[in-house]
Amino acid sequence: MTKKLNLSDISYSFSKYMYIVSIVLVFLVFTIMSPQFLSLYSLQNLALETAPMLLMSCGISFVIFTGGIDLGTGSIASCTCVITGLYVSQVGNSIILLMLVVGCVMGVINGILVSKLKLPSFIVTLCTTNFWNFVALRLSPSGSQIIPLNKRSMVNWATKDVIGFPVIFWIALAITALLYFIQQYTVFGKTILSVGANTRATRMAGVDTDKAQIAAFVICDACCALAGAFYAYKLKSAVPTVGLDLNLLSIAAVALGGASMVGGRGSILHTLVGVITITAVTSGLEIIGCNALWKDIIIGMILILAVCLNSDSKGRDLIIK
Amino acid sequence: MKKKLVEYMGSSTVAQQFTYKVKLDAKNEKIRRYAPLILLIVMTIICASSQKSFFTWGNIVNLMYQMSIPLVISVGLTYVLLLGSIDLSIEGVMGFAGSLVAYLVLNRTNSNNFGIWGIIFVIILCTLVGAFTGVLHVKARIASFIVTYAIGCIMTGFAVLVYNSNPIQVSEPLFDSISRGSFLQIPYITLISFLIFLIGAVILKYTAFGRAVYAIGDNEVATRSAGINVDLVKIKVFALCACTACLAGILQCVRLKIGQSSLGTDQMFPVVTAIVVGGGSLYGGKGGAFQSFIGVLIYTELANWLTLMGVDPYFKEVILGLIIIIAVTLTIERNRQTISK
Repeated sequence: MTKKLNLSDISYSFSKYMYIVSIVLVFLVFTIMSPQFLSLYSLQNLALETAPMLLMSCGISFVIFTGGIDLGTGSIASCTCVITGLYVSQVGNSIILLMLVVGCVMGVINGILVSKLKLPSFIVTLCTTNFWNFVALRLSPSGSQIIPLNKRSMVNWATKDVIGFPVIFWIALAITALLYFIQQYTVFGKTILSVGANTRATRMAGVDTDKAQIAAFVICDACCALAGAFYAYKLKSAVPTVGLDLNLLSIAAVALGGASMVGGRGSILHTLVGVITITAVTSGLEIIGCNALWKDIIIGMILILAVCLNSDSKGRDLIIK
Repeated sequence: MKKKLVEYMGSSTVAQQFTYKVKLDAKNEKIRRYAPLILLIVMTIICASSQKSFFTWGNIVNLMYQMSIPLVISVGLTYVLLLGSIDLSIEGVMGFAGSLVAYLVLNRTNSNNFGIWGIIFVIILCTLVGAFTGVLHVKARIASFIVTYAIGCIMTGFAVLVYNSNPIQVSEPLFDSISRGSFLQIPYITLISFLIFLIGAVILKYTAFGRAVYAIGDNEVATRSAGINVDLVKIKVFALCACTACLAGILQCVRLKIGQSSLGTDQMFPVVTAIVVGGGSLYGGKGGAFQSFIGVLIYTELANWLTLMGVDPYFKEVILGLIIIIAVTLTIERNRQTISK
């Protein structure tokens, strides 16, 4: 009995520092296997890869903190990526703000369905995903479409380097900082975590838990919409399938950051480290020449391992479904 | 709604409140039982009115052929939904099973020729994968949607790895004879799927294991107290679900004679819709094999009708999504204090 307790204690304390251990481990392994992994060019590339992922993971963190899940993040990114790619040449750069609004609307729809109708979040997001996919595939039925060459100057600013790193990386970092501030220092941020920890108790304490859940989905989907727009700027085209594996990556990043999948535990800062680790893994695998087909398998295993370590094995009476 | 509330609150004694609650429950139960049947009749009338040859034997056989793969998937998924869990790994397992079986039997890519042994090996392997999912879910205490989602992604990855992004053409004579053969005009694939469904239905209805699944879905704590090994039952259910998903994947491979991961794409979601429409509950304890059958039939007729009307195939998915949200909203038990997460 005592041995068992000790084991769960060890796994608990490990899960607290997992994000640090994993990032050090990943960078160490890849640098040993291929020294150019830490070169400036590779790091710049890493930053460019990280930017949209960072937005998505920070957004979905809020939903996971409330104990829910959003399985539609990738499709939202695909949807806004297509819209941005197709119409940026006509609307101009203000389309980013428009996409933010679209994302907020998507979030409100998801949030109301989850909180007011009391449906499980995974099924709601799975259902609404179909709609975003439909929009993406309908607008761009013949696969990806590039932004016309004569309009390229309009979108080139996003990938220009400022102080060594691309602009969209700085924007994503600024938004992450803002979200970190909201999560750490505002009443709303605390509410999100307490909804995840114990919804009923939070409701009894007089907090409007429905509003908190809706707000979490709005933040999540707005971030994903922005990430989709950034993908269009980064790839300079409208790609209806850009979000296919982003779902898995963003959830894995949050799990690697030590957030509990039943809610109530986690931090945006840890998610940031998780995202860098995950992108380092994916780009590192490419650098060492690993077959691209292994990527999903490895990320899936990382997700399971991270969730295993995070799972709260102490609350034995809680029913997990 | 307000009137109902007044009636409920206005009842002076506990006994009155209790009778009211029992009455309400009975009414809900009735709706749950008969609504799918009514829906099926309505759907059949709509289909029959827009398609003159609807009630011919040929069309009925065709309908049965179309529902065969969803029916096989529904067998295992019914068990999982009865527990109140979900299995999102079905698409991955299907793709993996189809790809691996194409790799192992006679094909145009390599010189493997394991025949029936290849099929048996794939079934055993997928069942073990399902059991592993169950162990992760039960022992590591991870919510089923996240562990099955991850396993699904991993299996899709392995599926693509099996054929190395170059889909395998199958030339196995056994597959050929199954996909071509028919009895009373009913293709063998349909017969096989109905047989699998029957076995699943009998296990669910007439064995202690099947009853335990219902009991866990209804009240897990009470079932545990009654001395049933809840963890073992759950692991078995996930193994069973992966097994039926694998069988569905193999049948897809038999039908299309090609092994690739897309054999499983978009197969899971319609079946979840079908089961919920048929009267199953995402919260567990409600539904059954017969209800799932009705649900799959409704779905097949609907899909048929939408194709006939020339609806965009992507929009079909949107409609399914809407249906599932409506069905779940209608069947949710509001008196059970649920917390949606």
